[in-house]
Amino acid sequence: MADAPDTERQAVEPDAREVLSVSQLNDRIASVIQNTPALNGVRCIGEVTDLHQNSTALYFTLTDGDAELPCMIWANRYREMDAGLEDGTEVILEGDIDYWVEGGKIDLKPWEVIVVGDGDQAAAVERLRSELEERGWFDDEQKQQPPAFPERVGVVTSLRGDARYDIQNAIHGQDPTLDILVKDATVQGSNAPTSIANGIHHLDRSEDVDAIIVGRGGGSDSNLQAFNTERVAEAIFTANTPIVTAIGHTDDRLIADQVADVATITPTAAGEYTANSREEFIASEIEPMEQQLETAYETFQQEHEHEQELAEAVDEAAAPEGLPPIYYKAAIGMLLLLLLIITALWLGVL
Amino acid sequence: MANDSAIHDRLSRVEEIIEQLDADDCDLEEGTRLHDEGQELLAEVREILDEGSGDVVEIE
Repeated sequence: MADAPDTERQAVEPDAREVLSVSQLNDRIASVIQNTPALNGVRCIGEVTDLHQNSTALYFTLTDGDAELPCMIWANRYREMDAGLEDGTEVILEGDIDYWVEGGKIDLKPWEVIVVGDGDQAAAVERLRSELEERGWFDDEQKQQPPAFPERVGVVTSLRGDARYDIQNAIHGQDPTLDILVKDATVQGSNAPTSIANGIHHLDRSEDVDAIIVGRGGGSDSNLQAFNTERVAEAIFTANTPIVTAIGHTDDRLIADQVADVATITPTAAGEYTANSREEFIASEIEPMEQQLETAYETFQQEHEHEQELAEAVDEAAAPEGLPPIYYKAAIGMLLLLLLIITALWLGVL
Repeated sequence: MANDSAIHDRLSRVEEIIEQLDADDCDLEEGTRLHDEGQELLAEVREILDEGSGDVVEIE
């Protein structure tokens, strides 16, 4: 719109002092779009992603890998088209750019769909998936179990993303004593694969990082493409530290998830998985064991005290009544001596 | 380093002590010494769980 002629620009230039409601501004945007010939009857080529349908309409995103455009086709019109769209289908769409005033969203409403073939991107991902599967990168034998009691957890994600805070809050909700090392990474776009892979390598080399969470919040299929690249898959596969993926998505399997030691469906789930609940562990393991130890010792002590009492009683019962034996021996000795003296006197020896 | 082995080793030893006390195959003095050892090990596990400051470090 930067090169719009002056007359057109004046027509839409707002009065500097005018304060519009959201509805008024959205109406103004809609009228600009509707009255711009360049946005009517456009033809656009791209790949279908994030396709979902309800009884009213078919929704999907058209992407060329670098940019995206939301699209919508009414269900009855789509039935007439007989296009058979799927995620990854490459299409040429012809239609109008439309602006949804209540939601403040722009989309392309095609009236014609020409299927070109399977999308290059989708086909490339499937080829890579097959190749890595053949190499054994998805095998269970390759997977490491993250520790139950880590001291420090590494996180590779955008420092400014919600995912980072979801992971942090989930970890510290389980165990407030855990240290967290967050490595900033670009998680979408052409630089993302290198950035994510470098983040994994960096934390993997760090001392005392016991597990690494790699993740981001949800997004469209094309936003998540970095997690379908060999670069990221290799960084995960070659890491010595157990890797937990935390990519907010629900439908398609990402290659990163398949290579990871553990795949979780959201950043929060990854945080909760990686950090054991300290309180829960104390309540379920430590306290019962303390109780068992005390019970075992009390029983043991009672047994032994009983035995001791019994032994003392036996000793007591075995002992003869009256004076101790030494007195009797002394008395016998004295009597024998007396007998000797008497005998000696009687024999006149003394 | 993760604390798995430090915690696991201590809890295993406490289990052994409980078994020895249950089996009743030592004298009272030895049993008392085992009980004290078990209590000490469980206190150490709690200390291990309390270690760490929960720091968050950002790396640009």
